[in-house]
Amino acid sequence: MKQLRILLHFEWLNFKTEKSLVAFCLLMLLSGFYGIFSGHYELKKQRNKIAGLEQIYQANIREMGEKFPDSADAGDIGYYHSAFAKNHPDNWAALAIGQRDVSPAYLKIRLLAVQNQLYNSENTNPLKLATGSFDLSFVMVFLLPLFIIAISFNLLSAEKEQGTLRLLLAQPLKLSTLFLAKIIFRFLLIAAMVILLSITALLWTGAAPDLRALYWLLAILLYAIFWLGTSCAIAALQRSSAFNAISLLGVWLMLAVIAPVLINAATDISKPVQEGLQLTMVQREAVHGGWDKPKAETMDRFFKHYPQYSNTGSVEGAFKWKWYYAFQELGDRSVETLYKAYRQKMLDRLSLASNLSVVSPPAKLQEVLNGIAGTELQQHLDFIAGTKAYHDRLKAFYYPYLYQDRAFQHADFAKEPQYSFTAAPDYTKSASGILVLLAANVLVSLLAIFMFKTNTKELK
Amino acid sequence: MQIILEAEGLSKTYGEKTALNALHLKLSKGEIFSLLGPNGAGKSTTINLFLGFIQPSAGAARINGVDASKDPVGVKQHLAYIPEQVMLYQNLSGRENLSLLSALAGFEYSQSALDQFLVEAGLQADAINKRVGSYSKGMRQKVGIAAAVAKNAKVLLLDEPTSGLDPKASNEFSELLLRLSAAGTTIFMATHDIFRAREVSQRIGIMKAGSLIDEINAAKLNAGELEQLYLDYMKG
Repeated sequence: MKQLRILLHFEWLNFKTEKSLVAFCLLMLLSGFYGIFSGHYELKKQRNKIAGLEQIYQANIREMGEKFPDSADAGDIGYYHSAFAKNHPDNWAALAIGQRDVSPAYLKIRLLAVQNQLYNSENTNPLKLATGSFDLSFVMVFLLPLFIIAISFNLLSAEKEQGTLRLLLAQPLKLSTLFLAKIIFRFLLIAAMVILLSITALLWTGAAPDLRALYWLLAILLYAIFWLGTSCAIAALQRSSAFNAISLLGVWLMLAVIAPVLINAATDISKPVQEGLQLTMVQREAVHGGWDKPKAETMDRFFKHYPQYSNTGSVEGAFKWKWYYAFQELGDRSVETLYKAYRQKMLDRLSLASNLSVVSPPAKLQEVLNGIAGTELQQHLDFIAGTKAYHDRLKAFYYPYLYQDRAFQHADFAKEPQYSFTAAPDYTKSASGILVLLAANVLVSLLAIFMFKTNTKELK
Repeated sequence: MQIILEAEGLSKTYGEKTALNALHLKLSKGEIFSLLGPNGAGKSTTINLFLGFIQPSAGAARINGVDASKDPVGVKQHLAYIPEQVMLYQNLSGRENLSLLSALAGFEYSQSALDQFLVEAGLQADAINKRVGSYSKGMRQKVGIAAAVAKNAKVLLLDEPTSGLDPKASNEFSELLLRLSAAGTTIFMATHDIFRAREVSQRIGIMKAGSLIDEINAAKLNAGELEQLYLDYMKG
């Protein structure tokens, strides 16, 4: 214990004078600060967009007032007026943007058939999407391992190459004690870095320091230990610093870059989702085909779902909104099974990708951090499901006006349902991800201990 | 006569290659023993076995009664090691390096005590607080010697200590060894330097291809005779 304290003190003295190490730390901190800034900026843009929706909404209502100064047919309102389903980000989303950069922050919803409205999104530069967001989670998932490799690839080899190892071991000191001191020092340095960046992120973004903070830190520190353990396993081979560096970069490339690509490919191949396109085509055919079908047939089918409106007046003759919204409704209903299959396929893909990511701690950590921040695909699917339910509420609000021939008054806009969604953190998935990281740590630690025991019986 | 360093049938083989063949050796308190031999003769292997860095294939290496292979940490309480190149932490000062080495050996000294060890080992006072990166080989060796004295080592293992030293530094080093020997430190030195070996040692061993082929009383031969004897062995 005393030797450990002495060695830690000298590791610190050495660290302070080692300019390259200090530079690495500063670089890591700067990357972290930029990641926080960048995530916060992206979120601010989304928030500004969401905040601007109220103005658009009110302008639209004013426009409706000008267009229909007295009262209006609810069919006109349903067609010309839009409401918004808002996906409000939690402050935590700034730390891990996740799917929020590819999924819309809001959806513009009209009373028309909902299915093709659910998948609208803004055009985005695909190159930007390919690289992903430079947020704090990116720094932790991809850059933190490189930082750990940079400070520990020569854990033992540096001492050996500069000739200090023999002199140290000529003292009554076990190699394992020296090794342990170096690991502890590096872990403390990494932990300080992770905690500093995380606290800065919480203060900067206003993310609540609740249970999520604990999950966040636990997951990242376990991940850091995994990389430190990997560095130790390779260092224990007693090979040169160059060998260690190349091996560790190879492991990083394999786990952080190649494995996620393979996981995506495996998911695409084993769980193809053709229902997306099929759904859009069938719904489109059904809705457009509605124009050519006999009106009575359309209304009969509609009344089966809404018998309470079956005594509404005839829709024969001139264009009637009742008939129009009836075939819009039937268009949606014609793809209900496909919609459910599509959603199930997406959930299955998510589950498969999550299962496969046990082979890639970086992919697993990204999943955990996105889960904590509420920015996983699951949470986006929840928003889509919530928006669909919101559309049902809009129908429940407007249909009585339409099918009971009640005039829509301007003041009725105040009663229009609203929908705001904020994703809840997925604690269950995050906890299981943390357990996977823990298991990976146990494996890598056992490997490191085995490597150390078998390779350090004699000083090479 | 108190035996401090002892090799008993000490052997080391790597596959079919014999690096050290049944070395028998006993050194008493305060004795200086030099091992002469060409590269690959087994001198460094012998030192590594005493340090517990490698495991013997047969026999035992003991220092102050402690078997280096059975208690590789315990044996180092009693010995100090000075390699051909004393490599220290370049960014730390001589004092900080000495403080680390002696603290690891269980001796935590005050700054003035550390400085005194360094000065007694021959380091100039104004160099004590300078980065070791600016030290010459001789200065680094003096830090190594100071570390040996600071840990109160009973045995000093030296591996080619005078190679690369200028004559003045080499001479100072010899004087230092004699002083340590007089104070009771047993010194085992692997070297190519026949002249220094004869100058400081009581006994000289000649090693060839892993075997100790002769042991000579240094006082009985002058430097020239020793050199001739050594060359004759190497030819044969």
